[in-house]
Formats: sequence, structure tokens, C-alpha cells
Amino acid sequence: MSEPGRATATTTHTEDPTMVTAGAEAVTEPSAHAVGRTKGLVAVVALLLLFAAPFVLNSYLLFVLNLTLVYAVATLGFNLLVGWSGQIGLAHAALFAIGAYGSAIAMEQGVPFLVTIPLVGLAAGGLAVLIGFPAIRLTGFFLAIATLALGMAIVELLKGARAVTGGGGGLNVEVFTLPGINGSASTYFVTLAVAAVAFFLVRRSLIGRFGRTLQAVRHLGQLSGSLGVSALRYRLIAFGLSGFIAAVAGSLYGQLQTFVFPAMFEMNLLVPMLVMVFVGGAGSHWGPLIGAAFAVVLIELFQDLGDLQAIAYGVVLMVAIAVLPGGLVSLFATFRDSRLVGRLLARRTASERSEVRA
Amino acid sequence: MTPMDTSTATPDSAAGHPVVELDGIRMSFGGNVVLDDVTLPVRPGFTGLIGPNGAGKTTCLNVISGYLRPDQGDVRLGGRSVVGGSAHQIARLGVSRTFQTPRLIPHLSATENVLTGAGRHYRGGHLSELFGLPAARRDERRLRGQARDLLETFGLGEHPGRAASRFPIGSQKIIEVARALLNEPRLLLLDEPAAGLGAEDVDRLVTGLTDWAADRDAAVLIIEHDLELITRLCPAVAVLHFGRIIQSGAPADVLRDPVVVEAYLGADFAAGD
Repeated sequence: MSEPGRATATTTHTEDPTMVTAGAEAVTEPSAHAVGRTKGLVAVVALLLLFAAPFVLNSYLLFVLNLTLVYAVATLGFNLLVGWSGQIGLAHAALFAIGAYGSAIAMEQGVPFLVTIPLVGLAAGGLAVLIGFPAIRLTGFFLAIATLALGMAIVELLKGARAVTGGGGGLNVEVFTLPGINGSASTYFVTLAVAAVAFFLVRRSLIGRFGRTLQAVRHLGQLSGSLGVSALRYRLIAFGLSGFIAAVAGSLYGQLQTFVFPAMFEMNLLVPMLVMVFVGGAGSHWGPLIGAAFAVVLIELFQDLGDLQAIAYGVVLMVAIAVLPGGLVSLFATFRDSRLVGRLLARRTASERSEVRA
Repeated sequence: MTPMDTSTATPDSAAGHPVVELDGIRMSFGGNVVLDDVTLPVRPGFTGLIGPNGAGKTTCLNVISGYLRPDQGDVRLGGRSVVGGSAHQIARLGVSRTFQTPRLIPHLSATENVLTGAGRHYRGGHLSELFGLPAARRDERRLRGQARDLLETFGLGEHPGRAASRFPIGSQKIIEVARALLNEPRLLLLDEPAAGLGAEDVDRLVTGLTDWAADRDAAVLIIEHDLELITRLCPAVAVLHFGRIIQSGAPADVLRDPVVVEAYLGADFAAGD
């Protein structure tokens, strides 16, 4: 009766009740309907603003925004695995690479870009399930090491398969353009559309039964069997889904960078990905977006550190987990709760006042 | 097989085909025999399983619920052998259980925690949930309603949205019982449900359980040290001592049996002196 993630960093925030409240609160509170409508409205307005970005931002800022969205999608998948199912699987950067390479290679063979997105998703999802078969029986440190090794092997394969991937030298990516729209704006619009759909679908399934089941697996481990849940099956599903999403994000990344090479997908990507999950808030709904934005700024800052980059990210990761175990999203929750408390206090004093008057 | 024939000692109210039958179960851990030829039929209604610490009571539950595979013997659920089935398969056959220390998802609400027990009663799959199909929404609404009703039954309906970790430990144990009941089990296994509960919580537990069981054919097997609770709830009780069933029958008779008194209560008295 082991408990996955118990011995690892995830433990730090499992006990924190302020962490993932979004799933529970949206449906159990009496005013859930009104709250849901407000949230939906906010989402629509945000989406419209984001669609306007290419018309107002300069090319550099558009690139940064685009990169943030790509990382946000990648982290959405990583968070599903690490934050929700509680498995520290470290093949994510490699699966992301599969998406970037797979899409570019398929396009060379004449497959339209938009078709390559689900294709690389399915391929990487399948590969992630294969990685998952031995991995789901491991927990904590051993799971991390095993998946890290498999991920590194995948990147090595990309280097080795020179004929297909161009080896260490890299591969040019054919850029997809929407009719009548320039390259970078096209890439941005596709990224935004994919990100919106991905966040919508993932959030909806995590807020309900699927998300509850994943959390039961994470918090009860093998004991979730008593709930009729096969822990191994759901761990495997989490692997497959995270791999699918990683590759989808990877295909978008290739479009954005227009050139991919294996060194892009090593530690200098994997560690920032962990930063995105934990700084955003592991097991949250919007953490991936916030974590990605944070990491993109960080990546800009650490650009010139060379080999020290991974160490710098590592330090950030440790500090983030130690100082803010629930991630940045937990700050919002704290803020909201305190405001709620404030409002309740205000209401009580109001009713007390009316009693006094009566 | 048992030292005393259980069928003659079982009162009429507990008659009927056993929901689950342990038949000659032997279980050892590294040469240490924990269960030795345990035969125990559990009939509809409440059955108590008592005995000193280390007698093998929890091991019995783990064997029934599929966490342990016995070295010998058979477990029959509704006449069908379930030995070798995994825990989640057995749970899906209608076997629910609770744990000595409550195992809830700390940051999820009481209702959400109870809902995690509903697994096999969702008619649609995860894809219908992903795409927000009406069937999935109906499932969710129906089961959420049942989860709230169960919390009401146990007197915990006041704060359905409060995070599980913010409830006192006694209430957490009751939430766990409600979660087990949402599976609509034909066999409910409770591992020391009253340990750590205040008198008020024990009353909630007893009322909730009897309400729930009143219009059902389900069997409830309770491990408990609180003999008053056992006497209140269970028309049948079995005593486990060093991995063997040494006595079973109506609590009044069993608890007066000199063998039981020596094995179980005697030990307590000796410790108390």
C-alpha cells in the first residue's frame, strides 16, 4: 500500500487545504451558477483580447506571448501527470520533442500541418503509455529516474537518426500559414486556438469525475482500489494524456522556432518545465498558464548563463516549492478567501446593525 | 471447520444466505501465521468481528477486499469465488470498505470525497464527460444528490462544500463511511469505525448505518473494540484470537463465554490491574 509522491516534493503541498480548491468550489457553493457564468464571461473576454494581440503587439512581444502559450499547453499535460496523478514522470521534454520533430518530418512527407497535430499527439501518447507500463509500478525517486533515462534515450535517438532528423545539426520546420495572414500571426492563431481548446477540455474533465479519480489515485495510492478504481490504469491514462498534450505543444513549438535541434529538449527545457508546474501550482487548473508566463520571463533572464542555466532553474524550483508549496495560483486563492472572509464579516456587521435598529 | 457450528448459534434475524463466506482461509507473512483456517459466513445485516489487537481482524478485511491473497482457502461473494481478483474488481462487485485512519482527499469537499465512491454507478464513460454530454451531466447530478443525501443521513449535511481536511477526525471517518455507501455495496467492511469518535459521532454513525441498512439486503462486517457499539448494532458476532475464530453467535452469549472472556476481556482486565 504505497503512496505515490509521498516521498517526493509533491508531499509538500498535498496537505495544504488552500491548494486545489477550484474544482470543488465551483460546483458545491450555492451561487455556483452565477460564479460559473462570470468565469465564462471572463474567459471569453480574455480570449478575444488574446486574439487581438497580433494587431497590437510588436513581433518580439508576439513571439514571447506565443511561446508562453506553447509552454502553457505543454505544462497542462505535465501538470496532469505530476500535479493530478502524482507521478513525477520526467520524459515530458522528450515527448515534447517527439511532437516538434514528428510534425516537421510528417510535413516534409506532405502531411498538412493541422493534420500532424493529432498525429504526433497519438504517437507520443502511445509512446508515453509504453514508458508508463514499467513506470506506473514505481513511485517517487525511482519513477523519476526511470522516466528521465527513457526521455534522455529518446533525445539521443533523435541525435542518432541523422537521416530523418538531421542529427545534432537540427531540422528546418516548414511554417504553416493561414490564407492571407503572415507566418508569425498564423502560428500564433493556431497556438491560441489549440491552447483554448486544450485548456477547456482538460479543465472540464479535471473538474469532474476524472479529476476526482486522479486525485484519489494520488492521495490513496493502491487503496483507491477500494473505490473500484484501478490505480495502475489511471496512472497509465495520465501518462498517455500527458504525452499526447506534450506532443501537441511540441508541434506548435516547432512552428514557432522554425528550426529544431536535439539540444533544445534536454535539461535546459525539462527543468523549466518542472518550474512551470510547481511555480504555477501543481494540481491546479490555471497554474500551467501562470507558471509558463513566469518561466518565459525566467528563460529570458537566464539566457546568458550557459551551462549554469539548469542549476539556476533548479534553485528557482527549490525555492518555489519551499516558499510557495501551492504555487502562484495559491496566492489568488488566498486573496479570494481573504476577500470572501472580508465580505462575510461585512455582511454580519450589516445584519447586526439591522438587528440593533429593529 | 470452526470450533463451534455457527449456523446453530446465529439468531433468526441474521439468517439467509451469506453475502460473503470465508472458507478455510490461511494467511501467513514470512512464516508468521496470521490467519489459521478461518471460516466465517457473513449474512445480511450487521456482523461484528472482535478480538484482541493483532488477532488478524484487519487481515481478514484485506483478504476479502482483495488486497491480500490467502495462502489457502476461498472467499465467496454471493457464492462466487473472488480469490485472485484485484481490489478494484472486488469493489466493483459491490464490496466497500473503510480504513482505520480515514483516507480522504484533503483539499476536496466532503461531497466530492463521497462522490469518489460512486465509480461503478456512472453510466457514461470519461469521454462523455469530456465532451459534456447530457448523460454525463445527469450522472453527475444524480450521484451528487445521493452523496449529499448520505451526508445528511449521517448528520453532516451542514457543510457539504467544506474541505475534508477541515473536518474533525471523527467526521472524516464518517465521510469515509458515506463514501463507501455511495458504492451501494452488498458487503460493507468497516475497520474500527468508532475509534477516535466522540459519543455524538458514534450516535451519528449508528443512526446513519441503521437507516441505510434498514431497507437493504446488504451485509455489514464491523471490526470494533467498542463492545457496546457491537452489542447495539450486531445480532451476530465472531471472535478472532491468534488467527482463529474461537467463538461466534449472538453477542450476549459470545461475550459471556469463558473462553472469550479469557482470550479477549481477560487480557484487558489483566492489563488493567
